[in-house]
Amino acid sequence: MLEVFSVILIIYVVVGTVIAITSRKYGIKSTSDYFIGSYRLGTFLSAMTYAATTYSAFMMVGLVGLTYATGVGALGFELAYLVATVALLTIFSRRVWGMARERRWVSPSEMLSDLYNSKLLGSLVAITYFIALIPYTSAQIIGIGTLLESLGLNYVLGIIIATSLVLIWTVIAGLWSVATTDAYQGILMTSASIMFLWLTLTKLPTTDLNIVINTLDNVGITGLTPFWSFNTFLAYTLPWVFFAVTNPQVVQRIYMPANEKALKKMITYFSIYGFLYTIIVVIIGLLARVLTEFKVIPFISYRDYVTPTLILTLDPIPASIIIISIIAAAVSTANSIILSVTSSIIRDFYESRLRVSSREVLVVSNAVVITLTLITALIAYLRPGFIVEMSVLSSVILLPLAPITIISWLGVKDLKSLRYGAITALICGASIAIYNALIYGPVRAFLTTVLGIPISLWVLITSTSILVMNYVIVTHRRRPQITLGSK
Amino acid sequence: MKHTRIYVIMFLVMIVLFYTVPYTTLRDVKGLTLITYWSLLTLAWIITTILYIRRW
Repeated sequence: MLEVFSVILIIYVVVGTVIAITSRKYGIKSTSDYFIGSYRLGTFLSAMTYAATTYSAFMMVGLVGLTYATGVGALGFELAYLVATVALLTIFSRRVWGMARERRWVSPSEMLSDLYNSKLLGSLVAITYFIALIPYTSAQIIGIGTLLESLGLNYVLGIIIATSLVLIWTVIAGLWSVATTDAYQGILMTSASIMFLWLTLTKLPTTDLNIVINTLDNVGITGLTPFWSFNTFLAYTLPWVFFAVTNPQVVQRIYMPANEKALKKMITYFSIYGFLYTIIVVIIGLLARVLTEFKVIPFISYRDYVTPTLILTLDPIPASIIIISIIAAAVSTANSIILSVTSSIIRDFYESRLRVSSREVLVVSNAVVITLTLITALIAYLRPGFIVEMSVLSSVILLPLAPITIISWLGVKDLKSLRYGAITALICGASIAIYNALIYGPVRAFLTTVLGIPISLWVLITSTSILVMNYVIVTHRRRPQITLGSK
Repeated sequence: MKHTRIYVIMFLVMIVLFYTVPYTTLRDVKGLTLITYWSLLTLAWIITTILYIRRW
């Protein structure tokens, strides 16, 4: 098994590196080239980089296990994300895509800074990205290390492989190498998931669909299990429903398509990709549970071990390909986040404040990419409990950005007058998330309710209320005062 | 603008259907009912979106 895995891993790394090196032909002369490919991505690259960035190793490991343990509610959770993302992209992306070109946006924090005319807001958003997304990126690298450890390889070796891939495939040609390797990895992820589904199906001791469904019914996971109370469903879905407007790595991808046709196709292909990938992964989770009931595999109490357990029942070649596809999912998400967070740091703290040449900025950009990647690797190596657990809360910490971003995309006039509201909304929303993480611990905070309302909803209500109050006050002040006796 | 408004209203209806029906009408269903419901609802939404995008 280890020999086969090593050979397939080498092939995956070599092919990816050749693709990354080939992408250098697009040329990197400015930060616009380095971070967003100078708004020149074609249809295929736009769609595939969006899909591969969005879908992390969580799908093949986390979602399979979640479905195995908690049932069909996991499908609802993941599809709620897809439905909302497709809608938000459709409603806002054309406008944002046009404005990004016109106003030369590179980073999402720069976008908010420009729209609200507040450098302070841009800087705070960049800091929020760093706090929320570095633990999340570390979790991707930890996932690879743990996966390799479950195969009998060294955990540290997994971290070294993951860190090297994230670093090399980013530094070679910035967004171009990230997007082209994303496309390669996206294809690998779907192909491997289809193969995984097929091989799991062949493990079933029966071909009678009714027996399979009855088995799942008897376990009680075809409906809503007690796990999926309405509050839990809300707590899980709410941060992800707004993922498309709060996470910089995906917001930035709206800027990139070369033309409107590529943008349209990006949304279309991403929707189809997301739907198929989600359905396949959930069915694998359900089939794994059937296999447990038929005693083909043992009962797995720790849900993240469902996928590794299934993989270990397969022949070495398909098993290795599936493991590589999980590594690919983690790497494609991690390098996109690193590049995106770097773009915010560079554009908001360096390029906009100092007069420096393009060459200097690119050198510093690479240095920041290397530093951030090494920080995530160090966290993955040390595995400090609190920081690793914070990855669960990443989308909740970013949630205050939902109303701030959506209001700015709605074309509200004189956004400048809302800048203090936006700053306060961001600080208050993120503070609620971090405060609860400190009080309850990040994992418990995710599901804790206060007055029957999940923390994520409190974050959203607070930040939205502050912005709306600011809007109402400003609008009221602007209205002409009508005094008694006047007409 | 009119089409966008209709699309946004449809999205809100979609979200209501996505969250409420499984927790009311389909609360105690068995078999493939819930998985089919969420899958078909999502598929219908993707098709609606693709048709809407063509009008851009």
